[in-house]
Amino acid sequence: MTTLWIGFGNPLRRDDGVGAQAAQILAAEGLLAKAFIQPLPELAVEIAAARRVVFLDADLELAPGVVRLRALDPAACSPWSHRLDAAGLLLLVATLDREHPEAWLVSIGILDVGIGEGLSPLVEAGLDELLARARCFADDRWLPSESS
Amino acid sequence: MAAQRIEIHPVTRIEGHARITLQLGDDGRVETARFHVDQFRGFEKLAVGRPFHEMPGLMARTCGICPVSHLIASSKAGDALLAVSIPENAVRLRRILHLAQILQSHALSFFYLSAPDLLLGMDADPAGRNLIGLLSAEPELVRGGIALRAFGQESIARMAGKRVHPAWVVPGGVASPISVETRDFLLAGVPAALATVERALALFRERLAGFEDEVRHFANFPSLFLGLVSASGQLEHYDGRLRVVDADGGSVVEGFDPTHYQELLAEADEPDSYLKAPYYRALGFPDGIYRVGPLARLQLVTDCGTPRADAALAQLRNRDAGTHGSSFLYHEARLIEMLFALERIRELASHPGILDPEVRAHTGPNRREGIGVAEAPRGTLIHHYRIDAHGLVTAVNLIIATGHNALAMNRGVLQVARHFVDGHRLREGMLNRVEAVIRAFDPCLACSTHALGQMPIAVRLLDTSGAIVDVLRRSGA
Repeated sequence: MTTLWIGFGNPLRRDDGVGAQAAQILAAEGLLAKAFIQPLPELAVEIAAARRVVFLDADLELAPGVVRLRALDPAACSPWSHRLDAAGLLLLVATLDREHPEAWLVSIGILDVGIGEGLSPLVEAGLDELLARARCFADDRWLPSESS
Repeated sequence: MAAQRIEIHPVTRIEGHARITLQLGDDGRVETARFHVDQFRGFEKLAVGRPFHEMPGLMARTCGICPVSHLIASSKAGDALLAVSIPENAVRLRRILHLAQILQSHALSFFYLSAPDLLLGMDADPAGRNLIGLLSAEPELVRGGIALRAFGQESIARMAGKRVHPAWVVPGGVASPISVETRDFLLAGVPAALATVERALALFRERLAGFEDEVRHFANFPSLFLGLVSASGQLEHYDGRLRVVDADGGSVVEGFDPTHYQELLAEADEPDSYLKAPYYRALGFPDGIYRVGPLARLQLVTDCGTPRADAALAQLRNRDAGTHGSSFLYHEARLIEMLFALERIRELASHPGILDPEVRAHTGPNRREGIGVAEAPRGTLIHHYRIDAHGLVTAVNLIIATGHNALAMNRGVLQVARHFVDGHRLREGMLNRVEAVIRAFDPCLACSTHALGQMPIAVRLLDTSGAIVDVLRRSGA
């Protein structure tokens, strides 16, 4: 199964860049992983071509460093006009192609989105777990269940 | 009825953050309307003290939508500081990169931001008046629009290393030549992209009859138009001379050296917005209102210089007698410019010298002042730098395309609000039109708020009922 990892985040806004950083690490390991500052409608073309997509993103609602995994369902997403997130992107794919790949969101709680590079210690510590959850999808013999 | 104030916040489907306020009189009619840009960047100050050769990469960070235009204007200012004439192939490559960005930026504006209004209707249910809703109604068009923007972005990524904030264009030329594969990618993508734009243009024209009222009242007023044109008077985005025409197309300024822009233009600040408000110096503020960008450029040129764009321009000119100054037609102008961009990319990428390895002139600074000017997607972009003997930046002035249109956007908001908004019987579609006139200009607000220490500020203290208790003002420096 072709899995595509997509990490979002701005590396110049501290913890916000953690999703993009994770994608770059996975890409260096040879996985089909790409980093973007933010979701773009054009990504729908690449996502539609994959059998499974795993989004990696920061989440201000979670406690810093806490990793959460959840399946994404485009039916639960409201259409948007001024902003776009991973679920909205999946809704776009589903509307374009009448079907969509299996999709997961691995998110990590963050603390500091100030101007600057590098992660805060709690998020740095959580990055390993984020990567471990993301790597699970590289092997079809074992798939994670939805968790937090 | 008591006087009331309506605030549209945020203005959606534009680049950046802004709000609009409408002040209604006792009779429920709109008395005043203002477009406020609340965000602030300050790049003119941030850049002071940096080595001038860092400026293109730094200035590209100004914007995530049109970084290439900043890269181009900044590098041209750098060329002037070096006092060099850059290699011919560097000019070709810069032009292609810039056209690819105009393509992706215009595609974003038309397909993602404005097409829901244009193809679903201004009064359509806002819950479905978005790209997803449009996808259900016009799937092939949206699919093509997404592919079109992806082609522009991917062209930039292949040439310049990444799609957003590349630093490949440098003072003296570009950092490296392109590969055969990149050239072939550019050429292969043109036919499908042209087909998408022509389909969109046909659809836009088919639906235009349903927008007669909007065409008449969307920032449709006499104003000057300003922009670069080529030596032969054709459409030009990279180089050329400034031309200014009046509302009837009459010549006001011809063949003006853009590096002398300060003789032509002056800049004003307004108390309720971080957006600069440049004006035509000879007419003063605010009478020196003018417009820039795709519609202005098509008003200025004799023709585009490519066959498909010229055919489309001829149709626009034949059809629009009496309404050719309507800002609603910025949308159509954007589509025509996309045709031009694609045709020109094909022409430039087919040039026998496009793979030449000589793409950069190397030298140190030879002047203390440099000005770079280009036509960004939204209009004329000016970067003006001064440096010291060590090549460190001592002063920066940026006039951004969106800023040129500040006065026109405000007048447009007022015109639309007065015509469409009825304070006695507010409907969502009325307010959407107020936002839509701003979308017609496709403002890029992140780019256009740079003055620091000069901005007059008014702080209003309101009581719990919203009445103004006190106002504290700081005048512009």
